Amino acid sequence: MRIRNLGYVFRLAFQGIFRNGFMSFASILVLICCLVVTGSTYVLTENITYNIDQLSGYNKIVCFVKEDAAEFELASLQEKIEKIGNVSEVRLITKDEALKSYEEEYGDFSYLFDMFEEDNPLKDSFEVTYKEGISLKEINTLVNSLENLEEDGIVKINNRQDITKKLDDLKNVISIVLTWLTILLFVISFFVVMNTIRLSVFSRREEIAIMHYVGATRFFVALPFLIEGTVLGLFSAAIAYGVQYFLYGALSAEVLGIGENGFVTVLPFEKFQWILAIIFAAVSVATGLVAGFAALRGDKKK
Amino acid sequence: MIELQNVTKTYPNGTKALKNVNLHIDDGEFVFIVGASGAGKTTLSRLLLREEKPTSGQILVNGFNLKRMPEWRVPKLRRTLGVVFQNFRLLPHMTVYENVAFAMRAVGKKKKDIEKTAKSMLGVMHLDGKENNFPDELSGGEQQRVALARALVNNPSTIIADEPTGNIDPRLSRELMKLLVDINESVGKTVVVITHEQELVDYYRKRVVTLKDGEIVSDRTGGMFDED
Ligand SMILES: Nc1ncnc2c1ncn2[C@@H]1O[C@H](COP(=O)(O)OP(=O)(O)OP(=O)(O)O)[C@@H](O)[C@H]1O
Ligand SMILES: [Mg+2]
Repeated sequence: MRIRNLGYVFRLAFQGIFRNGFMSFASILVLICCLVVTGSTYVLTENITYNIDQLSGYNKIVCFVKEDAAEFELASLQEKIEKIGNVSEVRLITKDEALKSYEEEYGDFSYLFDMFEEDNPLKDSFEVTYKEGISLKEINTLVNSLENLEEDGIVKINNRQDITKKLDDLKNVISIVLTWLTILLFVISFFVVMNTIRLSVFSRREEIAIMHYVGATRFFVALPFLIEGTVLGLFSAAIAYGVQYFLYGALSAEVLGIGENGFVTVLPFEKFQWILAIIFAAVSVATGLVAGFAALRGDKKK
Repeated sequence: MIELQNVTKTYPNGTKALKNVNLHIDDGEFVFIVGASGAGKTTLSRLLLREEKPTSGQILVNGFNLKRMPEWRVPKLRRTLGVVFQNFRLLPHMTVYENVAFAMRAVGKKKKDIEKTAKSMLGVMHLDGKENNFPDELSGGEQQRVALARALVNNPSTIIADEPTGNIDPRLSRELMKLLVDINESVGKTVVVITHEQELVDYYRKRVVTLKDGEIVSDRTGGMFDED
């Protein structure tokens, strides 16, 4: 069908938006919330998944040794660790070396560590590299074997698999909570947008009646309201995208600040920009359209 | 052409508004529908406009079978019908010109055609100079003529007027009736007028269909109150 007077139809749609300014504003606000939560769910899970993948590829375990370990004790410990299954390399990092690497890392601020030169609080440690591609179960066995060396002087084991597991749990919690929040916000958005459009329908009910009498098609009568829904949706999507962008920038700076030196990777926003734009546009337009249809449906029954 | 065959309309609440009505109106006829309040006159017009479906029986209007017609074709039927309402139902926030142009826009007419046809229709209805007035700035007679202009502007073959003279003074109802008769006689449009006004009906000596309690009790040409 050819639609004439498209300019007129758009004018009606915008009239509807401004006539019910407050409700339109509420619609846009709630849609923005909805979209930002959806977007955040997406970028968060993506980031966590990425970090989990990174960590799983990190095949090292660090074992710290008691403070007063003698050199021969360290040597025998190293020998014992090397004999454990799946271990491919064991490297001793003395506490002096550890301190030095800290100082190097902090560059200009290395004077902070001067006070430790005399009395180094760090411990000697072994960096245990295990074979790549071994299963989580095998890693656990390995960790257990290391723990059994407690009597030989091992006091602490840093295993990033633990962190991976924690991150995975976190990811699950986040995706469950945020998914439900998203659904809830969608339901709210839908009803707010629907009622906004219903108000427009109501304030134009006499025009609609006349249009039906003179033989306007249902589609032509509905068009301004569907456009109203779409415009509300797209407008919200545009703002939500901006909000998401700044939020992501601010939060990633924060995370990188607290992150242990390259321990956490934050993906650049550019990685999501297209998919987010598409999700936002599609989701908001769909909400606007469906709400528009629902609003008109309610009108028809009257 | 309008044709009703054994049409019965029972509202969902059980009211039998029309009972076994048979009626034939040829193209170009002028017909008054009269009857007491509650006789079923408005129900009849709503059936013709397909605002309601008959409970049983057949209705044909301008080539459309209203019983079998799918919903999406209703606009096509409506474009063959021009409706004049009792209180005119002009849109108060639109000017005279916009009210008429609105009806054309609603059916997707071209912008150029809208300007030309709406203007000339207002001329035909002697409304030149009133284009930019709002309905509440018009006299009752002028409002009538705007309503008629709107009903005619999409060039329907049939005019249906339900109590178009309802709330206006007798002089104005004569004026409107004269316009309707003119439209019927000069361009041959079918005109169906639902009315209470005995004087008018008697004066024009047209075909008169009388409804009583949902049934047609008389259908003849001449005054409603003529003695046999
Ligand atoms: N939507 C409806 N639902 C139920 N009953 C209705 C409905 N519309 C009309 N009726 C009933 O149907 C009967 C016929 O009504 P209708 O409006 O057709 O009468 P009318 O001849 O137009 O009367 P009037 O001269 O007062 O306008 C009445 O008894 C009325 O109460
Ligand atoms: Mg009536």
